[in-house]
Amino acid sequence: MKKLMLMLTLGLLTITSAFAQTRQLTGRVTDLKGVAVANASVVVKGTKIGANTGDDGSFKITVPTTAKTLVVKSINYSDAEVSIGTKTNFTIQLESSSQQLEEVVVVGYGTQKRSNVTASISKVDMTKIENKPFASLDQMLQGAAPGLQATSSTGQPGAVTPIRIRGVGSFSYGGARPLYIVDGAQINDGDVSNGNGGGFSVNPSTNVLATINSDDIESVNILKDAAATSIYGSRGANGVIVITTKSGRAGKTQFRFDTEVGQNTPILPPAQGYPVDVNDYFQLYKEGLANSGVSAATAAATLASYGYGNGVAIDWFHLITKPGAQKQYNISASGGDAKTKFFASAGYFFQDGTSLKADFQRVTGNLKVTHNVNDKLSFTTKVSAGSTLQNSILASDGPGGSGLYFGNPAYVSYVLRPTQNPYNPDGTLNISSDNLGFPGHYNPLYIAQNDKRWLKGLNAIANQNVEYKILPGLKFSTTINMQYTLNEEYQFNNPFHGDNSGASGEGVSIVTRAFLTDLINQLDYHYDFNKAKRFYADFKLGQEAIKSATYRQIGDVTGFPPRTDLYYSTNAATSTNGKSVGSDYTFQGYFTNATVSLLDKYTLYGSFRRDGSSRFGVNNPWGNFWSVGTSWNVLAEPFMQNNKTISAFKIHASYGTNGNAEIGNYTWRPSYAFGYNYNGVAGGTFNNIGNESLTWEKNNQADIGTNISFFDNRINLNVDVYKRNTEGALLNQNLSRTTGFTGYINNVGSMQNSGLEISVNLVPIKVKDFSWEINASYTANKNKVTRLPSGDQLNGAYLLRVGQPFYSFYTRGYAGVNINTGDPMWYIDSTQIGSTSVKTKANLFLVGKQADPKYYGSLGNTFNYKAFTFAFDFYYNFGNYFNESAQQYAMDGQYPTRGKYAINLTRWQKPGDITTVPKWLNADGRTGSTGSDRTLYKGDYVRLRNIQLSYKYNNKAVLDKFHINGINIYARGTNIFTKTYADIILSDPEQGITGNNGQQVLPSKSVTFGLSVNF
Amino acid sequence: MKRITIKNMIVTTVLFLSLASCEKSFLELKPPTSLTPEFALATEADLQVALRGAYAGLKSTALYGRSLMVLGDIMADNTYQSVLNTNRYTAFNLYNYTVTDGDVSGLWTASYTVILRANNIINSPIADNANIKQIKGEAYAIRALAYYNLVRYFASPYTVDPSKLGVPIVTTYQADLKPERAKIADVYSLINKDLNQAYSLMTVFTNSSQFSKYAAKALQAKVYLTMGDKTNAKAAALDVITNSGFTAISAAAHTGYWAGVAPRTDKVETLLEISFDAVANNAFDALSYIYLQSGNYGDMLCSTDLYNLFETADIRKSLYASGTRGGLASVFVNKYSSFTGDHSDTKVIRMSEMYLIAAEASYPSNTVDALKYVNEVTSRRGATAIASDGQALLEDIITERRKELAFEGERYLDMQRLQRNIVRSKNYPSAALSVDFTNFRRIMPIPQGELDANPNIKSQQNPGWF
Repeated sequence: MKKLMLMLTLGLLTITSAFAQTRQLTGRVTDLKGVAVANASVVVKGTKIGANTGDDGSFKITVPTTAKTLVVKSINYSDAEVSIGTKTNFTIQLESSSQQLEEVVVVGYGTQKRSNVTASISKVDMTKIENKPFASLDQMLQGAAPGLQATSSTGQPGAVTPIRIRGVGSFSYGGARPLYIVDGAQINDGDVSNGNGGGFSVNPSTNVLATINSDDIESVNILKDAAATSIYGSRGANGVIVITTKSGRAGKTQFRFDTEVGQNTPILPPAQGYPVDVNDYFQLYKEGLANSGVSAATAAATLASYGYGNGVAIDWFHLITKPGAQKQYNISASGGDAKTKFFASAGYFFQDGTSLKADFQRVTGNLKVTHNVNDKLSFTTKVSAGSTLQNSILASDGPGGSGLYFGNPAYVSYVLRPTQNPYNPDGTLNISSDNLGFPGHYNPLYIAQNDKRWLKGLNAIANQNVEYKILPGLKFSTTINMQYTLNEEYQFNNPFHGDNSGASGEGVSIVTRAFLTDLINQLDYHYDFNKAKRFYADFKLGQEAIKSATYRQIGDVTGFPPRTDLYYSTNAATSTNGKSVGSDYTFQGYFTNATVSLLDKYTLYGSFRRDGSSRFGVNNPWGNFWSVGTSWNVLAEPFMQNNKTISAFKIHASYGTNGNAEIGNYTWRPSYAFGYNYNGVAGGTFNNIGNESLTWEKNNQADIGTNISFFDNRINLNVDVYKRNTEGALLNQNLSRTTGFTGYINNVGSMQNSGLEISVNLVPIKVKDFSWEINASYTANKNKVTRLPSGDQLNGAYLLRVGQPFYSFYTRGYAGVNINTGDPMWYIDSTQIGSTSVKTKANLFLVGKQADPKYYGSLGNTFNYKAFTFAFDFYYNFGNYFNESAQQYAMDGQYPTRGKYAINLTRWQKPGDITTVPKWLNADGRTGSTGSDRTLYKGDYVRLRNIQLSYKYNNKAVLDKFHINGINIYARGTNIFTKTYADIILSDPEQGITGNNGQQVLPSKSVTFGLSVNF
Repeated sequence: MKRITIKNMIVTTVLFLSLASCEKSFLELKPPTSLTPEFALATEADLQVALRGAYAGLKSTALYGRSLMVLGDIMADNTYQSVLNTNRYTAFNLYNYTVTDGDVSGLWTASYTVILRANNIINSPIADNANIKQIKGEAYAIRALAYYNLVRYFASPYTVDPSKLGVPIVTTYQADLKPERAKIADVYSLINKDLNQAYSLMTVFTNSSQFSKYAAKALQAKVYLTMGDKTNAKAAALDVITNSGFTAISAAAHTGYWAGVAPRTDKVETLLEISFDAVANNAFDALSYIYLQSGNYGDMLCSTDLYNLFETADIRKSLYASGTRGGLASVFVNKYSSFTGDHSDTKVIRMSEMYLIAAEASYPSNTVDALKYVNEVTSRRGATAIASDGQALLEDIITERRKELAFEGERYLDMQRLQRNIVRSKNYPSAALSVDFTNFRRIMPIPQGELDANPNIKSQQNPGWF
């Protein structure tokens, strides 16, 4: 009977709902100033019936007549409830969840209201960087935040763009990079390519970040000071970049389609650095032979053997560079209901490099689902994968590398002679080894056509988060993040021409797999001391465990059949190398922090973390890191209440420590290793002294800053000053070589970065149809070494000296060309008074030039007129120098058989000539082009990074007809214009963090057209 | 309500801590490719492995992999850098190298690395047996070889003044060592002590790629000659010639000898060579790469005056070829012919040199012997027999050494030992055509890296260097 009743009731209910009457409600959601709030969810209370507002804040919703109340929710705003009554059209105003500085900011292991943040954090405006024609996020971050320096060293698509936050804070190149956090978990970032396969790097660099589609990123926050980073303890010393991927929003499923297509062209070197043509080339050659006293007959024979007058005139630069296609397509869907939300996307990106044989493509897929099981339990699952294919030229041997490979087209395009003909008379490619062929540097066209150098990568991230609200205010969550990275690198050198052609070609295969697991357990507790919620405390207690396991297989073969099309290893005769190796690391940490906030005015923050790592010595694996921070929201004070000028005013200050563990996985261990084989039998040796007391490098940072806004936020100013001291820095401590070792790693260095960061946002004009917005940032950083274990220490092209910047060039001072004799001159010593024409009599000294910029930043303007937006952004960089470490091959007469820079035409010819290029001598033994600051060029520049005109189609009637919410079309120029400030400059001024021209793929500028549709 | 809260808190905390507790070993990861040193040299087999590691050290590009061989000729008058070059050893061609030169520091550092490896074997407490004795004997000889190279490049010749500064003597590993330079005489006495040990300990001849009893004696003959101790030099050389069972290569076998790539077991000619095979070689930095032309760097060419010394019938002339490079007539060196697959080995001591040492050591006391021994070489090369006497005889012996040992890294060291000026042919840069014995660059500087790390050696730099 009961059962029957139940069925009846259920049936009745069904019928009721089937016949239920509905009606349509429309309306618009705005903030208190009447500005539209897009993407707010409007839901009938107690049901799943709802809709999201469009870009103009409007919504349309069909509700049952029984519906009584609408609930409107949007991020950054307080929820609103509106009773429906008989109205069908609503204007709903939402109150900001906080009056000023209302933004929510991502902080360590959570979020915080902007007004109460005690730390220095820059939020990157994703709308400004999305869809840009860059393969990876790190490239996009150039100029995106004060205190963040991103400097590429190559135009190779998909390569790493190294980032430094608040200066170089560690002695090792890899150690100075920031930590990347994606959706709360640490990831393996940066270059995970092999770096070295059988003598050559297979790929210039493989960027994990380039496997992530930036269109899937919701926000990027740059954590800079100790209060922000200390909770990451062991690895946060050089800043943290926190990436949060997009989540679904409840309501009708929203689709978005983005595409941008266009063309990349190389940024060619300045005129002085372009190779000379055939006439100039032989003019120099002839002059050199005559000046060197070579007999006329010998000179004529020499010139003839190099093709003088043979009619061949090749512009190698023209041949090895090319315009390339640029395209990307992204589609995403976002939707769900109150219980389950999802975001799904797919993307395709292709970038053609500007040198022969350099390109990059990526396919990505991404799904994030959030499900609330009930009020207490919810979980979020994210799975994303990116697969990449990178083809590259042979150019890289690390950040300080010279790229001087015979098969590197970027390099040989300088040094091949204009009379070396790439083609035979019959049109085939010329690979003869006579003087007019390619006896040394290879024919880059043949190499590009027949050699292979690729990397196929897969980066997959699975992130599982479970959250349980134990009590109001008390929450437990577990995140487990798994990152799987697989790289297949392959290099084929053909058996006819080029490297290893003598061994009938070579095939190098390297497979690297990295598996990173990050487990985080966390308790969050929020406690309100009073009912008004104006006095509260947040506590966090957490535990984290990280394990990374890398496995690599290497195979090297020679002896290919005489073909170029069967390039896989299996076709070759001899296997010369076949090995595998693994390398693992672990981290384990416990962390806690607390925030106490009173009246949204005074906030106090403290954090503590204890971390252990397998990377540190058995005696000292654990480190403690802590920070304190405070903020004062001045505007909330009574004395500010009557002021009309200032619309936001906050001061924050912090101090704390964090650590750095970026060293080799087993570096601390004294070790005896094998592979020192002899006659094909295993040999071994004591190969690493190690340091059983090795421990964390520590970074102590003090920061004070303010955010202040005027005139209703028409002027916004953020200023931060900081000083960070790296103590116990991981540095190679030199040993007397008589020990059999050159040194060992120890906590012996100290370094300091101090700086000023300013960012300004101005809205000079804001009228009905027109607005003008200016965004500018300025960062000045001063770096100096403050402690070294035993005095000055050579560090490649630099010298480490206490009180001097880390990247201080150490070389001779070039004193120019003797006006009477045409000889190159050098200063005898650092006084730069006396000079000598005998190079070895000149001392090396710190020439007062550094590789890191003294200041840099960005300046952007955005103009909106009705549906049109016009924007342009400049990036500027001043105060640094870069090293043309290979210029000697194309400068002066030392290597007469190689192509030359046009600057050589200004050589000294007669007494009285004032120039930097000495009298042209054949096989010049004065070596004036190398070993002095003549190779250092001023790296100052201003670049028009982005210029963009977009149009937002907003004819609602037409859009509605096609069920489209919005269309945006635009044209964009990237890197269109660069201004440099050096009297002489031979190449693009952006040459990596270490300031070294490594003869890489030329950087590119692009013109692209984009379309973005929401439906 | 309050009670529940506390209970919940406790449950949560317990749950949390149970999740958080990790086993201690989580942070202890053993490297997959290495051992802790104290466990690595525990058995005879371990010592054998370590010995190969010591030989592998000699393969370094900074030593017998390339530099020792090239420097010994380019710092003299045998090989010069082509105008078309890859910028290797440029500063030695120009004689303007500096205290920060990478090849100089490479030679220093790699030598001491070899010494460390030899020391660890020599100092091993494993109980002696015949095999251990052989291993230790080889290690003594390796150490002697390393010190012999160091003291010849970084110190004034013994023949000038043995009480001058030599190189630091290190015979046990100690990480914080900052040694001063020992006297040249002390370094040589260590070398001789080691070689005597090596001679008495070794009983086994494996092949030409490892030290044997008579390879150690042959090295000692060289050492004595370098010291100007002709009596002992001759005695040692004759010991090798008479008792070793080794024979010198004949003219007929000469071409095949240089084309060969495998270590020899037939006791023909090679007393010691450093072996490079198809897998463990220096690839693009191999010695052959810098001499061979097609498909290689081919930077280093044979000087005209050296080439002109060879008579037409001299079989050694076939190791050179005429051609054009950089638009100029050039002579190419084909002594190291294999740069793919099994690479050419680097000869360290050959039988022919024993005859040359015996000849030079016989002069002036016994010119009959001098002629006899030097013509053991000329007769095996198709060269006209030497018949001179007096100073001319000595010059002929020195010239014969130059011809026989060209491109084997000996010429500069001979010029040092004989305290001679170096006069180079017109192939060399005009600024560096003659390099007097007094030129401070005739002795390498203590490298900057050593000066920086070792305060005790700072004031002991060689004269002329700053």
